[in-house]
Amino acid sequence: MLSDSFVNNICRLLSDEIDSYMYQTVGHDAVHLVAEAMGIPLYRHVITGTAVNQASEYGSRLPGASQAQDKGKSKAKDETEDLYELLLQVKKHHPDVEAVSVGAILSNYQRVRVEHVALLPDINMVPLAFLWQRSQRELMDEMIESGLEAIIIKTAGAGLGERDLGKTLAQMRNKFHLLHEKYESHICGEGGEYETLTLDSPLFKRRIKL
Amino acid sequence: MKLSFIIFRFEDEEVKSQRGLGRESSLHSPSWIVGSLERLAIVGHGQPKDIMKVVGLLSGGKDSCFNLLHCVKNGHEIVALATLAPPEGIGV
Repeated sequence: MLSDSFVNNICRLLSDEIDSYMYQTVGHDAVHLVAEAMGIPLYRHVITGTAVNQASEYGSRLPGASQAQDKGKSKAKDETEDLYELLLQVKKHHPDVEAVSVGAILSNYQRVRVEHVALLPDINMVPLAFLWQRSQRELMDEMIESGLEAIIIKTAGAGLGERDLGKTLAQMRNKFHLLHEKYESHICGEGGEYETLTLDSPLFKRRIKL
Repeated sequence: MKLSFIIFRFEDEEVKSQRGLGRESSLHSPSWIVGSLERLAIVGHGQPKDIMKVVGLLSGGKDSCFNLLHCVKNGHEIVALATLAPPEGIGV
């Protein structure tokens, strides 16, 4: 399914010791493709915060680190303002938007930030976080079963490496379970163990091919 | 470093037929939907409407896309997507 060149290129990225910020850029470049595949307009806001702030979003890979991140209030402020600007821009083009979807599972940092902005009078959106605090084991199976196809585009967790890049969730499922038992890794990668790119979903009008 | 060597493309004209979003799916487990609505009430939004127009925060990863799938399965309509982009010239 995946061309060797894609995997090789990703591996090259990894071997170049590029930091987590770079990996996010890999994913970021593909965001507009995901939006295009769904046929829904995408709004972007360029982050005004520093790269240091950006990195804090990724956080530590240690279990329980997401709670520690919540203490970084000063860092959160910049990102909250960026999110505010982003949603304000959406509201300008779609005044009838009533809710905002956020895929947070475990990150209190992410959820609190979105809730805070959504509650502001200018924004006034209901946050919809259906994955919040769900069992990651169940979520992983539901994702695979739902027809959502996502591949690994970054690995950073114990027991994960270059050979896992490009693999689908279905291919990785058993390994995620093993790593969870061995290292208490988060099955859905909530500790920053890995990042994914969605290639297909029931909401996609067209599938993304690599 | 440029990332343009990663070639993305869409599936050819074999346009995906509108796959039904089957309501019978295991996604529709009532327990957590209720849990989610309670949570919304806790943060002070009152009772969310049954059908809402939604903007989806999108990273391109599995979680943001899967939550959007839940939104649609719960009857909501996704009218826009939104993403925070890294500043130009950093990392690329």
